[in-house]
Amino acid sequence: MSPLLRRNLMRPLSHHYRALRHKRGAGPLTASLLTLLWLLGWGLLRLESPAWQGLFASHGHAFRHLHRRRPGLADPLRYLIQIVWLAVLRPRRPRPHQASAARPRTPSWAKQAWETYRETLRTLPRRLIPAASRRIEAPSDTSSWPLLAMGALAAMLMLLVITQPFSLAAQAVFVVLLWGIALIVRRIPGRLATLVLIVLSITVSCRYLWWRYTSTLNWNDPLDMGCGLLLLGAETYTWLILILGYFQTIWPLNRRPVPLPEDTSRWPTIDLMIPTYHEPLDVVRPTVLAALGIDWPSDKLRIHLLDDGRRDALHEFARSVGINYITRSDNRHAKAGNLNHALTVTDSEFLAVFDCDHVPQRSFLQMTLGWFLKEPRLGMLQTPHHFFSPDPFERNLGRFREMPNEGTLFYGLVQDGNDLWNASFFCGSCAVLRRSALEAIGGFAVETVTEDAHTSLRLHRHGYTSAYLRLPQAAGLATESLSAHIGQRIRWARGMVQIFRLDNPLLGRGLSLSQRLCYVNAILHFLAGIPRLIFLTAPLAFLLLHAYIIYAPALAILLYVAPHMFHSGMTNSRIQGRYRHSFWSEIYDAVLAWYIARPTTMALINPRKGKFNVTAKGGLVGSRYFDWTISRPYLLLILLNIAGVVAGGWRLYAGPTDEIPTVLVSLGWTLYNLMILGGAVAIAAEARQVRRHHRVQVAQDAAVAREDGHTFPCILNDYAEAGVGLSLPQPGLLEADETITLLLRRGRQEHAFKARVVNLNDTRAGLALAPMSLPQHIAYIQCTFARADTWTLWRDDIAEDRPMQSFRDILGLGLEGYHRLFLHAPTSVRRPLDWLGSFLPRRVTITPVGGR
Amino acid sequence: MNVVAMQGLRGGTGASSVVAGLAEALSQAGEAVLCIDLDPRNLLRLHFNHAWNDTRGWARARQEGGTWHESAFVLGSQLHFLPHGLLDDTDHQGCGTRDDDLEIWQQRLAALEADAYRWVLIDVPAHALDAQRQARRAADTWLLVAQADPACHALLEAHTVRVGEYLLINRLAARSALQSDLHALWQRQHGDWLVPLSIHRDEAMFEALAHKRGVVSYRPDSLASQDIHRLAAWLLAQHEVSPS
Repeated sequence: MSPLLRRNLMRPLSHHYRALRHKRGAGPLTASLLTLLWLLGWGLLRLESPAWQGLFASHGHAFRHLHRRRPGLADPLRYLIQIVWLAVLRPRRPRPHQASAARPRTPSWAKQAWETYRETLRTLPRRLIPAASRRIEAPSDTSSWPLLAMGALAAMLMLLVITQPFSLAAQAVFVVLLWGIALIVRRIPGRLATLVLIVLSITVSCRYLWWRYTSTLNWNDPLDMGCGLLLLGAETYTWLILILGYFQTIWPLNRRPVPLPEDTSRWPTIDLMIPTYHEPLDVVRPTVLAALGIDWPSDKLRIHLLDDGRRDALHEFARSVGINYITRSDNRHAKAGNLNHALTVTDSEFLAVFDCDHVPQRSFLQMTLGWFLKEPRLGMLQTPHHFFSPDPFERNLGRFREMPNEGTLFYGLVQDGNDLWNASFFCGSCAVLRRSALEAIGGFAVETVTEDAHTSLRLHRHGYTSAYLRLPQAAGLATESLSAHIGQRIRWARGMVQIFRLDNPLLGRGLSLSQRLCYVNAILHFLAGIPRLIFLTAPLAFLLLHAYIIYAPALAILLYVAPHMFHSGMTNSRIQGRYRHSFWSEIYDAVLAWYIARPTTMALINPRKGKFNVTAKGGLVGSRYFDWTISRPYLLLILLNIAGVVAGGWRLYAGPTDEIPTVLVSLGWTLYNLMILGGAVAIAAEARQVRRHHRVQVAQDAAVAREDGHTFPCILNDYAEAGVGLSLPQPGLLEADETITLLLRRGRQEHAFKARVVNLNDTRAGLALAPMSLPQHIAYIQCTFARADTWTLWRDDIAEDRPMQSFRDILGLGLEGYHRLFLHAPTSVRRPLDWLGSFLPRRVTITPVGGR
Repeated sequence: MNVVAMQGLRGGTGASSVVAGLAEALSQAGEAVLCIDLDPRNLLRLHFNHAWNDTRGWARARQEGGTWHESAFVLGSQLHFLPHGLLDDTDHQGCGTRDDDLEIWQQRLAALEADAYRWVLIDVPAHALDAQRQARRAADTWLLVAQADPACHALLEAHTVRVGEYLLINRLAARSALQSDLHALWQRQHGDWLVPLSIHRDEAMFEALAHKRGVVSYRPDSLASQDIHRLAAWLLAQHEVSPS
């Protein structure tokens, strides 16, 4: 009997064992144990019964992630965790489709009341305006002393509110009241409500800072004191930036263009200068061709290519298109020197400056020169820098044009706010300057590496005004990698700090107070490095070193810090929401913090050290990679913060009970820092950039004509210098490799370009353009890069800021950063993490019966 | 009822093809259209798949003593078409005496039921002065169809623009430098009465006639067809603003 048993039993057992070993890749020990368990199961239970069979069939859904895995010894634990997880958490059920559409429910009374409340506040300014405008008609020659008296009274009250010590209960009542007012006021549209929010925010933040200075420093313990002072310094810096920021953006000017005289003989002469150093011809060419297409009397527009690289190819190109080529024997003072040299060999009344990768629109001069004719003291007019390629943040995160990019805040709001105070400054490109003004200040400033801001500071000192026109009139390439972006920002930061040291806007003659404040804010902004590093490590002082950096009970800290953060966050979201979403500044700052901390400090100490480094543009990122070098400081900070979290856990477990609230607050802060650092790390994973020429994404009408005379409408999806992408109304209209004519419109004029179909995929076609004659090439640039409408439209589809949504975005981004870190980590690190991760339970979606 | 007359600035500008396409485009937009051919050569009918030997038409009906509208054809629910009809050479004189009243088309259209048609499209021959004068009285919009070429340019120099008259460029080919230049020149010289869209040169337009159809139904995906749809939309917009 035993041989029989052995044969009958051994066969299925060995079969099962082999299936486990070879099909699912289990190790010998796991496979043996599982086989034994299987035998035991069959021996003791009726596994062939329908109940058991049903369980076998359906258990795969809830334990799918385990079923797909190689069986391991720790699997019982994994099953246990997943079972507990499933028992605790409600599974996700897809919402049924019909429910919402079937019966329109009448909204509850609460909802109706809420709607009425919102509507009342929304229409409040409209209902108040008639009254307000009547008041303005009152005699305007009344003296200003009532206003001054009111201001003095308000200032005194404010001082009282800021400095009055409150008990914790009184402070709680106070912040709840202010917060309540803010919550109501934020629903009212208009600038007056914004001003109210600003006043509330300033009150709360000043009160916070006062409290920090007067009652949260521990003078008895040197460690507490040192760390506390560092943090207080950083907070004071942030407070200063906050207040100056409010001042700067309190009333954006939104300047409109001034029309030029009808008589074109009264239009001034222009020298359009395109400085270049080592950028390839491919980058320079569209700019020059677009400049040739600018609408301006041709005898009054001279285009100059200022080549510091002294390259024959560029000289030849300039000659072939009929523009002036200027070069010099040395490269002293880089771009500023280049422009100054060009000033000596040209003589027009005005100067338009374009970086060689900023393609101007045909309307650029007509839009900008009107203001110069209207205001004889106007020295400089700046227009936004607009980018048709994604910046490193957008590219690495795959969020091109989904939200305002990094530059939007500056060009959308800050410069416009500066303009109110006659303090908008020159940004090096896409600007017009008056020659007489430049000559009065001795040409472009050469003392710093940011010659642009310094030049406009000098113009302001000499009594010239500046203007900002928030109409994109040119577009260019964004920096192509994070390291290049950081390099550019280091240069800006160093240059601005140099200005602070060499030509401090707070000192010296000729500036109004508001101009001084705007310049100082612009400069201080670049000193954010060290304060940001302090914020990213501050809670560790307590968690790791047990230093009381804020010497106050946790509840008091919450009652002072939270309103400060909420008010400033909400007010900034209101002011900046369209230009930068909440919390994103933290990410941008965190990425730069480490890198600008050192150069700005060095420049503060010795402003004359350091040289000009050119921002590299038009390059490629060869393959997807993780920039380990650049993310090293973030990794260090992440490790420190993780250590902080571990220490916090230990303190919760082993520390004294009365410290628990403080530990919790510190832990929350550390987790927030970890999230921000995760976001910074996510950006360091460079996405691939494969095309030589940047393709600009658009959706504009076009048409293709085949050689046989058939012509079809199509949509132009993207364009580049040498080719375009189309989508056709239906497949089969074109053939691969055939020569066709592309018809593009600019205004009502239409232009035809010969092209070849290089790839064809259903309704999508890629065309390579045939070589063009010069007028054709100019027309092509005009129909594509230099079109007025393509860039301005982009802003419309960008979502408004919703702080909570934005917070979720940042949270997702932080997690994404850790995920990317994990994906790019070396195997020795990844494997143990992967193993740990396998214990994590998974969420299960339950499909309703009868559903799809 | 909006009466739109279309006339070639000279012969061979493709005006009849545009009329046929426009009739289709307007009817596809849900508008009731009557399309009338005033050209004695009787060719517009070929766009509507009319039998070659069929000599019926409004002029023929008049010649034979019938009423002018009895030989209209129904092409779908929204589009009715009235060919000119082939006349017997012998009786040609007689017809002229009967129909030379300047107001004749004005009266005929006024006699129609007010709601029967939203649009009446009249194909006016380029060289028949009588027909042009009659159509002028009846039409509130006059589309003069021209090709961007020197002959049309010369004719435009001598042309006097009347109220409600628009210049429509047909067979525009941006590939031709001459056409591009003339197009740009006309935009400056004739900008006040130039229709803000042009109909591109498209092989589909010629093929449509070879298939005895209008281009809009023959090649809906062609650029010419899209242009004509836009022309229809432009006409609709014009008449929404100033209902006649």
